[in-house]
Amino acid sequence: MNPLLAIARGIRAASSSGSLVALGWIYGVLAALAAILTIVVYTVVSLGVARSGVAGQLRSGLPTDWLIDTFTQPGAGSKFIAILMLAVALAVVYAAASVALSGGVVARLLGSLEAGSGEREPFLAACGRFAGPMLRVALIEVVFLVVVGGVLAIVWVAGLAGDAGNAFAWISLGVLVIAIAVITGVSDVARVHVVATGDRSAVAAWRDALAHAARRAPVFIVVVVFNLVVAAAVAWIAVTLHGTIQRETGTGVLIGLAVGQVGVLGRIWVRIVALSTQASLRRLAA
Amino acid sequence: MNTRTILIAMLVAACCAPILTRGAQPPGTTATVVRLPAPVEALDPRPLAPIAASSDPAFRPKRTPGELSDRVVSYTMQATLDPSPGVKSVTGKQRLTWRNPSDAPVGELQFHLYLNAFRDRESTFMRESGGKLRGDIMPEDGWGNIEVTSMATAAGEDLLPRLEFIQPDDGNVEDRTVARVPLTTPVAPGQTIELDMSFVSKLPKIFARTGHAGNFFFVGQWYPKLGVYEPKGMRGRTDSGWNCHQFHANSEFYADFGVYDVELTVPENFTVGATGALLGGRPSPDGGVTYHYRQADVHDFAWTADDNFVTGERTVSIEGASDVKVTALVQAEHAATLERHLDASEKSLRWFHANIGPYPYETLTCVDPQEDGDGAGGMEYPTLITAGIATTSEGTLPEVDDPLLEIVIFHEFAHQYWYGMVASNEFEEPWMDEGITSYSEDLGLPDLWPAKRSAYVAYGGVNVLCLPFENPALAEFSRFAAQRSVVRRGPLINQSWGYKGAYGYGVNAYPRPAIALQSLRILVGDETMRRILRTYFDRWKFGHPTSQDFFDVASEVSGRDLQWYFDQAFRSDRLLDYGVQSVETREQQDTVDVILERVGDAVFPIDARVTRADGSMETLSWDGRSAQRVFTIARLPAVQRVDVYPNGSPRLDAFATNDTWTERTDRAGPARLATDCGLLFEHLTLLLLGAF
Repeated sequence: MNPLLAIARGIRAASSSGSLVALGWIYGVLAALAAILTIVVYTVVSLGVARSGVAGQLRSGLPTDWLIDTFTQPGAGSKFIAILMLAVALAVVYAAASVALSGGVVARLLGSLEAGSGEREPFLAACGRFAGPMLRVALIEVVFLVVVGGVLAIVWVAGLAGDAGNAFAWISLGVLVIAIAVITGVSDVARVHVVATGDRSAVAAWRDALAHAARRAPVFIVVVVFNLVVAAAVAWIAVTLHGTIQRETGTGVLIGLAVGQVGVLGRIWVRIVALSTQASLRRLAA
Repeated sequence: MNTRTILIAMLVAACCAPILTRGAQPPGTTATVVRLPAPVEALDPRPLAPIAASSDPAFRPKRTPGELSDRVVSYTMQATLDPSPGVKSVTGKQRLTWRNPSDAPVGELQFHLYLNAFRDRESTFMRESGGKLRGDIMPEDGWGNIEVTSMATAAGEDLLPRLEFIQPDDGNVEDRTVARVPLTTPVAPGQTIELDMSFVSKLPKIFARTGHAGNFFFVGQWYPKLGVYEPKGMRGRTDSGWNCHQFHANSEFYADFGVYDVELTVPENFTVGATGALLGGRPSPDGGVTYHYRQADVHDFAWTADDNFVTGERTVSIEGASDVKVTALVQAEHAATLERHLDASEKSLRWFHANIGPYPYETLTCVDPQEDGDGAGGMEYPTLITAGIATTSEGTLPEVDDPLLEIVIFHEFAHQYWYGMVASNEFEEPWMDEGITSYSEDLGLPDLWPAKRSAYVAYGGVNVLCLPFENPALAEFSRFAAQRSVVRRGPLINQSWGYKGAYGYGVNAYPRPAIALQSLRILVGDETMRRILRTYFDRWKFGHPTSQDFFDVASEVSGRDLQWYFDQAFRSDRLLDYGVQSVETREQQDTVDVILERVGDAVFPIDARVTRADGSMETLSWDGRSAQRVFTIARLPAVQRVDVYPNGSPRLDAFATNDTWTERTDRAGPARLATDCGLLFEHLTLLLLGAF
């Protein structure tokens, strides 16, 4: 089986109009949540530096005076914790939303991979139809991530604390990251199984996904590593590109915002590509 | 009036002050200027921290032709290093000559035996440190100690049986870091005594600056060293006596100046660096090589030996001063940084020569400790300093634009002036060394490394992340030491072991005095402050001054009594915070009220600046004593900005946000921060939860 073919078809499917609709929904949710946080932070910061010259200093980054004033004054801690709690709550909302939307995303990808396979189901309807099984698949994924990732993370941290050396530091980190990527890849195959077969059992979906990954291990790993590398590269490019924007004026801030959002959009698309390549691989293997 | 009446009157006055002040301000005029100094005790009757008085003028440094210091003591030593596993010790002999500098006979001698701090867990050092220092923990097999094996006068009188350990600071009978020896015949005023001593120093594993790590040895606090006999009047003393403190976790230096003539014998394959000039080397009859070092006008001698050093040398010539031979001893795997060690040492030398005073010694040696010995990094000894790639770059080679190595070298070199030559008492007034050294960084680093410099985070031997701030700008973070949580815990001046824990010492010895001196610079101006430091160094080099001696120099050079400032900043727990409370327009009167407020309880004179729409400026002067001051000024041209500290904010001011007032709140700054936060949220969410 040719992994490049699976990747190529996956990318093509992720670029189809139906998949871009799914991309728009996921990005929309994330951007809306980020906008809530942005508005709250802007309000708190603006009030804190109202009519102070320190407000202008924020144009060039994080001035030390502002940092010290913000984090050492009485009451600053509670404000900071409140914002942090809001961010955590918004992240949980995003996790729930992305799980809920994943059925629709997979349905669109499969629709693109199987062009001409009949009338397309509305995106939200597909999301709603598969929300339950997708939640269960995600919960099993969480269990895997906590158990496997947790053990590896403990080994990793213990090794670093014990001064196990540079080679250990890099190898253990690599193993940890690849293990997480493999779990995500298997989970993606399980999601595809749910939508492709209509089988609402998450356990059956995971069993099928694990069997698929085991049977096609070399190709499966190649696709997982490809997705991991591309995701890391796009994330790095997005962050670096945003960092190059001079944001010391109102216009600069707006340009930075736009460039930043393009980067976020790119990262979400790459995530859909990862899902799509696994769907493509599974289809080729069938 | 009794005390209660006075207190009630003060309370009423304090409550009414803002109202009275506001009411007294005639519209359209600038406030009357009432300049400090004035007694600030009236604002706050809490007592100030006690400090030693000024030194008696008779104890200002003596200048003997050909000698830099009053050489009270001299050591002629022969020491042999045995680096064998399980031994790791130095066997030594010394002839010690001491002159009684007082006008009364002295009947006993007191010695530092500081290596005994690492004898067991019960020493004062280990109790105070909890067995941890700079993140290092003393391993169970790492203990060290010093044993005096013989002690006799030149006439042959055996003094060893009389040697007893004393604990002048805390009464901890388990502490053996100070010993006294009663003399049969007291040393008469101006007379000298000679002692012949032998000792064995078992070096600890490097945990607190000294010891061994593999074949790297850093040998400090390694020989029986006399304390300082302080005559009445010296450092404000009211009676004569020994000043010989136990070894504490947070301080280690106070000794007399003298001459050190030392022969060090080490295995042939070891490279040695030490205090002073290398006079020569010769094969030792017992094997190995003997190196001969000599240095006068220093108060300590330390050395290092390693079989993994690579060496770089450079002669620094400065007009009007003698040449200095700079040597860098760097671990072989860090050989690429040799030039950086030399460059930073040279730049530091030149900066101090130009800004503080000449460096009078012929040598400077900069050492890079072995990675497992990074507890010896970032330290100062006379003409010998340590930096440490392992510490500054977490084991990686430093990036070109990461100057932390240079910053450490500059800091340790600065100690050559304040710890080394001025030689204040680090136990009793730690701010005078570390604080002035930190302030020197504040002055020198922007001159020496002005370009953008980055800080890196290393992982697995690679710098993986370049942090988005400039390294020298880290000094700006020192303003955290002005915060309530620090200031209210007590005055800046204290004994090194009198602070609450290592943090209490650290914050009060380093950043708090540095920001107090920076604030003094704002008060007196850059040029005056520069002259204060130069005068202080010039007057007190080789002199053991007190805090009050520094304060006196500052008042003298600035031409005004600054005691009110030092009392508040150094001897009290007063908080400094001034701000613009509000700017209110009174349409009917066609005036604007600029209301300045004193939020803290420290008093500082204010020359606030008002900037108007047409670019014109005016100054509002206030003595800062009342809780609030209203300045009524003309409404037009419109007031655009008010700066409480137009000449730069004193970092002692706890809250910078209220130091300025602007007509409009800038929106782009908060917007940048908020959108960046939103974007960070998106990226982190995708990283952590993107799998779903």
